[in-house]
Amino acid sequence: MSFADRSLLWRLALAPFILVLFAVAWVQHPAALPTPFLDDHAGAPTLKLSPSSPFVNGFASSDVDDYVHAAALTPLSEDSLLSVWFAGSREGAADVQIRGAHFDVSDESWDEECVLATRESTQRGLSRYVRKLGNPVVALAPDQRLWLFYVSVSIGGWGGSAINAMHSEDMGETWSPPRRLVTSPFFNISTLVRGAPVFHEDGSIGLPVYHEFIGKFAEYLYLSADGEVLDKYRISRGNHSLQPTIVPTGPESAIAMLRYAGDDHHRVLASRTEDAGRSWSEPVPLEPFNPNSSLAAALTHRNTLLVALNNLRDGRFRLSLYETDLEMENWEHLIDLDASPDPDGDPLPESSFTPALRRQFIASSSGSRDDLLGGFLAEVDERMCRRAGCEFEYEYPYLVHTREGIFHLVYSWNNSFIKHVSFTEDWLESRN
Amino acid sequence: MSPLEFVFWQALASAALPLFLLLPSARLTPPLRYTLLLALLGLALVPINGITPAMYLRSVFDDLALTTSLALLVGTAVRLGWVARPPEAQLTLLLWLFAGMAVVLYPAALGVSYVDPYRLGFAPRLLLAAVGLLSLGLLWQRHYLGCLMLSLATLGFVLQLKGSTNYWDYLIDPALGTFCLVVLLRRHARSLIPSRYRSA
Repeated sequence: MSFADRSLLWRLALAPFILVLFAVAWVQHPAALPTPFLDDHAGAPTLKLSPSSPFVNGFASSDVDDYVHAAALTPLSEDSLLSVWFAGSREGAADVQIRGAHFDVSDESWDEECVLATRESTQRGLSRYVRKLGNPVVALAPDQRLWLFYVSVSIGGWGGSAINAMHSEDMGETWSPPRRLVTSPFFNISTLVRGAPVFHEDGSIGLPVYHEFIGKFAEYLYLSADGEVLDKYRISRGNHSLQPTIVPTGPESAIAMLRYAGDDHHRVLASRTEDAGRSWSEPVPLEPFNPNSSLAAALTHRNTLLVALNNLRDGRFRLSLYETDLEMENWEHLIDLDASPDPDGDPLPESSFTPALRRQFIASSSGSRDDLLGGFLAEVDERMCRRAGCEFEYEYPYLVHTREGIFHLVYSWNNSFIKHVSFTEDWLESRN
Repeated sequence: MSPLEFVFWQALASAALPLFLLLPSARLTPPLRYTLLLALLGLALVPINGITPAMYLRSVFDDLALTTSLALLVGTAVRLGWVARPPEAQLTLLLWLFAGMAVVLYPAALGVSYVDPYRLGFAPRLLLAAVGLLSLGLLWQRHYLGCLMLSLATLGFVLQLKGSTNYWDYLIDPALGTFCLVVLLRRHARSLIPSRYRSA
């Protein structure tokens, strides 16, 4: 047999193996289209919980030494919540940890905070060098698995971020090792989380994510109920939008509100999907201002949107709650959750800043953290004061509406505490 | 081999083999080449502050595509004299193939438009059909290296050897794409520069 004949025979023999290989891959990987959004208020109890007051607040975090930021929250049961945030000597420091605390709804108190993930535990779990940790989000899936997604960076700034996933089968008592989600072809960098995950009817997870490497844009990451990346859909493009917060408004429809990171109009952006997240409309600016800061939204019992945001052109010295219709055309101011005593947010001299901060602390802690006041005030000048003066900052809200008819909001309070505010549907009704 | 074991060996190869190929090891005698390779593999496993160089490189460059790993293994086998260097025309075709993939994939990942070819790798039937046909074409053309690279990448995808669920991540990575683009640009630089700007 000649060389040419032998070569032909080899090729004819190998071809079926290649065909079978690609056929197996074909069968194994059908397209995974998102099912309708889960209505997590369907079958909600008609007898709603009655807290001691229709509007209460307190501090979820209890450490006065650390910089705290980027809180998230999920209901675990009728009478329990879990909040998570990151804390360390400063944002981006190697000692930043992902921490959490449980809230007991019946006695309206927060437990002592605990550590959920560290740079070292993440490094061990991923078998990779990890330089720093960042934003976490947490959500309880319909199958009662608790998911924690958080950002880590191996090299560079936040543009070098990737997302890690941990889950718990026992409501946060124990956690799986972290697993890296591969979401980008370019060294798998530049994907971050901030907004609350949403769920689909089959238990699959919709994770709002954003990129900030060269472009700043938002995507809807679609994960299986086991946390495997199935697909992703672009919400925005370019380099001017971040941190989508997604609110399902129907089985196939949802609204994404985005932080504006451009230099033009400085207003909140909004995009819509009518096919359960597969396609999104071009984001358009809304009425409220957005000073390049995170915002949060939730659907109310009366089919309106509740939005927590800094409605400011610049600065984060006032955090407010607004209500708007689903067309997002009429905005009603409900309450300023926290605000600097200076209406323009200008820096204050330390002599007037410290007494104002003391008053705000006492009003915010509702007594439960009053013993921390002395230690906290000793840290003030390092965290909030510069040469020009001292500034108040209230930012990064995260809002959920529970099946029991209570809205829970957590946010960074002067980067010193995670403040928790909760209010009932009755309180909302009483505002207008 | 479990995915975890695969990740270890791939990280080790990804750290040591590029250095072995970049160093002028071709000038060494065969025993010295083996010694150099073993030394580089050993160095990749020496922990510095608890982190091995292999682990650190994996943190920076992520897990390489299976095509890249195979290219590194073949390059090393050629350098050690185990196999003959593939014909130049075949290597050139691979350079164009992977440079083309990189040009399609990476600029779109920066979010300049709503078009995102990376999505084709999550629901990969179209991509599988294209790569399957290409693999058969390469086999027919006796381009065994190209056929092997694409087929093994697909086998890795079937076995989910990497952490990724995206087919692209098995076919191409930025390191391979950049390498191919740089080699092609260097080769064609003369023809890209107008003659009046070229040095005599």
